[in-house]
Amino acid sequence: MPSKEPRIGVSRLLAFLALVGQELPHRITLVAAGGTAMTLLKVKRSTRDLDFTGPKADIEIFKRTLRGIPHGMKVDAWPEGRSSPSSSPPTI
Amino acid sequence: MDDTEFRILDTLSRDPGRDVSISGLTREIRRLHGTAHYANTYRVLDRLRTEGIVGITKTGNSSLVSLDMGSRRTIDSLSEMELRKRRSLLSKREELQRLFDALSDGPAIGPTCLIDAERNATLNRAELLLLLPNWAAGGDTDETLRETLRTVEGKLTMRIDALGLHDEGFRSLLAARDRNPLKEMLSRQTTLLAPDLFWNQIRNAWAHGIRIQFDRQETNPAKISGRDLVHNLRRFGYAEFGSEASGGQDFAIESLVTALLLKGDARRIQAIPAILAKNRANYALLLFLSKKYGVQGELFGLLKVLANHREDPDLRIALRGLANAGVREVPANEASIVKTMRTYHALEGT
Repeated sequence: MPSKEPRIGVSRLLAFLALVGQELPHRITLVAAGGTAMTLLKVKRSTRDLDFTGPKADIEIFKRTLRGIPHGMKVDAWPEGRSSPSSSPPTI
Repeated sequence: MDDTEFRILDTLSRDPGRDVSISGLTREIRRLHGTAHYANTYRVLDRLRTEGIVGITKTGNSSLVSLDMGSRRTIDSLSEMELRKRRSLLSKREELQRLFDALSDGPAIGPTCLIDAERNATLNRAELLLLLPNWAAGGDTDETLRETLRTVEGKLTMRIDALGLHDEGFRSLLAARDRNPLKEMLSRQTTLLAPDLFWNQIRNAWAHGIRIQFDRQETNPAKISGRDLVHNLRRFGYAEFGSEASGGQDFAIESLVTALLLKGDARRIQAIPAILAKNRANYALLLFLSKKYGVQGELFGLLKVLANHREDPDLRIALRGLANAGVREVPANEASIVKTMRTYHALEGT
């Protein structure tokens, strides 16, 4: 069965990050992980989920900001590089 | 329609009730479209005036321009402008072309507008405003429409948040003095279906004496200040103990409720049924905002408690809509809410 998530290419991913960036109260550090990182590096053409990690405080700000930006992406964010399946974060 | 005429009409239509000077209009066109020259704007405006599409009034040294909403030619020109806007948008965004095709296939109900189309498409989302005729109110049309949109959403793998308003709800929100999402949506819309009917609705509202004023800035309920929350809670009959009346901007009750849910202050969230019981809310708008900002579950729980203590057909329809959409209810503390409602005289018979 095909996934219900859309495929997100590099230009759309960058446009999405630019929109989120406009709403952030200040600069934060966000590290792309997995397919998201590979898409940004143009190793992969597109990704279905957007996965990020970063310092705990920055991830909190990112999640809070994203809550005020209605979107149709599947975005996951973990603090401090934690990304094991046992600690799967809620989708934002 | 030439480029200058298109740009003038596009710019004026973003707030059709406002008078603007010719140099102010030129600046605004430049901001929206990149280039504009005063001489060209003036020349085309003069022609549009003779055709009865805009009015120009002399005030001191400057001339103020506004759309002539009383003229049928204005509606025709605005419709033409909308078609061109739509063509340009759909040629740039393939996903929106697919959305347009899917919506065109469905039953034609009334004007359908896409809000902030390009920004939302980047976020894999479409925000729709559907203006529904009064004859479709109360029956199964609303639910059929919601079901259709859910199917389109699944087919296009795009999130769709839709606000469907019947004539009465549309006019009452348009006439409201406070800041409300409808007036903000209208300044950022592209009409996908039936542009002539859309502008006729605006014209009819104007003919009924409603002051047409669109708001250019979108309110993010998550960013409504604490001061404005206190001010509006007080305005809707919930004066917090110890808070002073210090003024603030007036927001619609639907925006206030969404803001309270997003902020997550338990005490204020418990006030929501009390203010909804004491004031008339547009439940279509409330449901739309709660979906848009992801607080449907919390709202569902609160509305269920409210429905246990208040007979309101609109509330029942809203609850049915939430249940049919498969929203998972976040249970609310009924005992505590009832206590708050009693304290604030929001229970029927108190």
